[in-house]
Amino acid sequence: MNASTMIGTHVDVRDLVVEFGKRTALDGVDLQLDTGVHGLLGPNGAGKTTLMRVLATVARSTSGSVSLLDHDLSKQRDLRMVRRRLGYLPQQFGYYPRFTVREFVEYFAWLKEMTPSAVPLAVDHAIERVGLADRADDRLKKLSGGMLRRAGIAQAIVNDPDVLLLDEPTAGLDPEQRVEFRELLRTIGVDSCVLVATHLVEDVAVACTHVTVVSDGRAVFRGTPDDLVAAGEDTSDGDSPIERGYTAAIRAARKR
Amino acid sequence: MSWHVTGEALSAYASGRIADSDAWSVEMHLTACERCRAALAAEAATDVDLSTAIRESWPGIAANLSSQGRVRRGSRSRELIVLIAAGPAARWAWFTAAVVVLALAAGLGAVTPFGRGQEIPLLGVVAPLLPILGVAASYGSGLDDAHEVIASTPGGGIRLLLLRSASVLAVTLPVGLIAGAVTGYGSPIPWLAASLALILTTLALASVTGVGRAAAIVGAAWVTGLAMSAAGDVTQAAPALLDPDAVPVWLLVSVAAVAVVALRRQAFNYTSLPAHPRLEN
Amino acid sequence: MEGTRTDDELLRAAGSGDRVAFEEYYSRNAAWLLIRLRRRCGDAELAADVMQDTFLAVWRAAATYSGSGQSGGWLWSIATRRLIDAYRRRAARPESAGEASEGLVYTSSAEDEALASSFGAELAVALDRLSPELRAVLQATVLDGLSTREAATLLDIPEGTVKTRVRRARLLLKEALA
Repeated sequence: MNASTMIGTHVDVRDLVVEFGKRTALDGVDLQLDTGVHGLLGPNGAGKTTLMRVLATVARSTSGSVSLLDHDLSKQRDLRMVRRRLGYLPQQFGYYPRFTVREFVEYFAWLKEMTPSAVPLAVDHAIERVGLADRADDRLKKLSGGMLRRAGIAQAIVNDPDVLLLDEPTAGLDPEQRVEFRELLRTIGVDSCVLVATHLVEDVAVACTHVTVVSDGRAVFRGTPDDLVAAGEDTSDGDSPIERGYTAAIRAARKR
Repeated sequence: MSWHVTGEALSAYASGRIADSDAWSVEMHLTACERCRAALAAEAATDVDLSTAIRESWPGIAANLSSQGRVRRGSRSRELIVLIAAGPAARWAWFTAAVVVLALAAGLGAVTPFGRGQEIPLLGVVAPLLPILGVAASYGSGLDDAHEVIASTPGGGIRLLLLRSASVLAVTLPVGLIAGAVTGYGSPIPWLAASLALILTTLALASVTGVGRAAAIVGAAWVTGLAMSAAGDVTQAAPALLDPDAVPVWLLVSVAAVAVVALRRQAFNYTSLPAHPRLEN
Repeated sequence: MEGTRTDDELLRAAGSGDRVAFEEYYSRNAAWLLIRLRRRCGDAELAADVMQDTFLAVWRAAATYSGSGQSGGWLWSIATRRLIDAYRRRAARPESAGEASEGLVYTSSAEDEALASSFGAELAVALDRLSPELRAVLQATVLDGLSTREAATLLDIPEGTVKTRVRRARLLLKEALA
């Protein structure tokens, strides 16, 4: 039996504040997420990346509470447990050009402290899931932007994470890859919590079960993509119904 | 294995007419027993449905047997290799640079005047610096491209840092010793002790400033200190920092640095840098 | 038993690119794997798909197999990952929501003829007396070695339910054997 069982909320953020010097990046965010694919929408500079970094355990909060998988992130003892079950792909992810796809994914499998005997199969599985099986032994410097992004996703899912954080994951993917990627996201979201930060409203409309809109460091909208569409019925700004909803949510928040 | 599944049980299992408890027993045994697996294969061959499914699945597999690629077994030694080799410093370019620098230092060593009126072997100056630069290059978050993802992993904190530091020492110290032996430059103990103290001080300082800055500060302090001690006292044969008398001091510094690292180990759990200046919003 | 090579030897040969050895490995191990998969998912087509995926993964990873005599457990562990993947894909397709639970009720009943068993007779009786739901979670977590989360995905029930059922099943078995 696996000792680390998930029963409560995957992500539980209460009144999260993050300040850099005098600047407030997040100003009292509340967020509760369970299994499923969750979209995090917002204009550039709204605080999406900061929120992702706090959830990825690489940045610390100024105040408020953050717990992942029922572990309080402020407790150092719990941090290690949480990190083993986390997957993270930052927007700008560094890579080692001379590594092959397989070595790159394997590197993170080891860093995530996976069982040695499980590593080769997990690496193979992750590479297969992102559709890079035939390029597994190519060096990263030989890959296109879209393929690199997929290698990044492979490292994020190699440990079959309970919480998967992807910051602008569709950047560099062509339309066909984007469709495949959304399919993969839905599959992962069946039994884990996927949070996708994006500025592309269409990604959210197609792939996500829930949406959170962030603006000026606050969560200004939470609901399903349909709810967001409904929020935009009275405006005409935007090319699609969900885009109108997004614009309306941001405007309503700014008026307050 | 003394016990094997009876033919009766195998055929009941193959046809699905079997109680769960018996099926479990059969399955547990099959997992471990090759002979009964083969016997079940023979049994299944007589079942039209099963044998058809097995026969028809093969072409789909056979058609997709691409070349297997360079797969490696998962083991602790493989883990060490991957974790160390990922560091930029482990690359051949860095290794070559280290050798070249030391060779130059060793070659020029004995005759190069440094400071005013005193000769300091360049090797003594350079050798303690190399491990620090190596650690900075192999772990410093500004230089390791993947630091942001690494910081989110359980194995990316102090464990990786110590592993990389040890690997850097394992490369640079032998090179330094060989260079020292070739040039016949005195006892290596003073500069070995200095090396150890400098690298540990770098790690201790890194818990506050990050590895890159810590390496820069300690490196600059080392060079400045040497220059000052060489300029200050021209009667000494070797500068005070590389004098055998300084060894106990270096060891004390090392112990203190270890204590600081141990106390502040949690600081290594987070990145010291924002993700990317452009992205921090 | 045909052939002289063991499964371990066949796997190692396959790991260095020997297709003939791999085909023999397949012919020896496809049957038990397919039957076991069918018992788990109750869907012959899905079981065959998962078996194909599994053997392809085995081919790619054969060189990493380092056990001696543990190839059965190794093969099954690959198969369970692929089975869970297949369930995830099915659950992710919106049009088939709810379908995942179908076929997962383990079909056999205790009235089937009793067979020679490596378990004690008491344990066998106690296991067969458990409700199908309790047996299913025990099978997934104990016999198949799945994590709670994987069992939950496979059985299409919440993780908390898996845990409580495992607890209950263990308690009932303990009482029955006391």
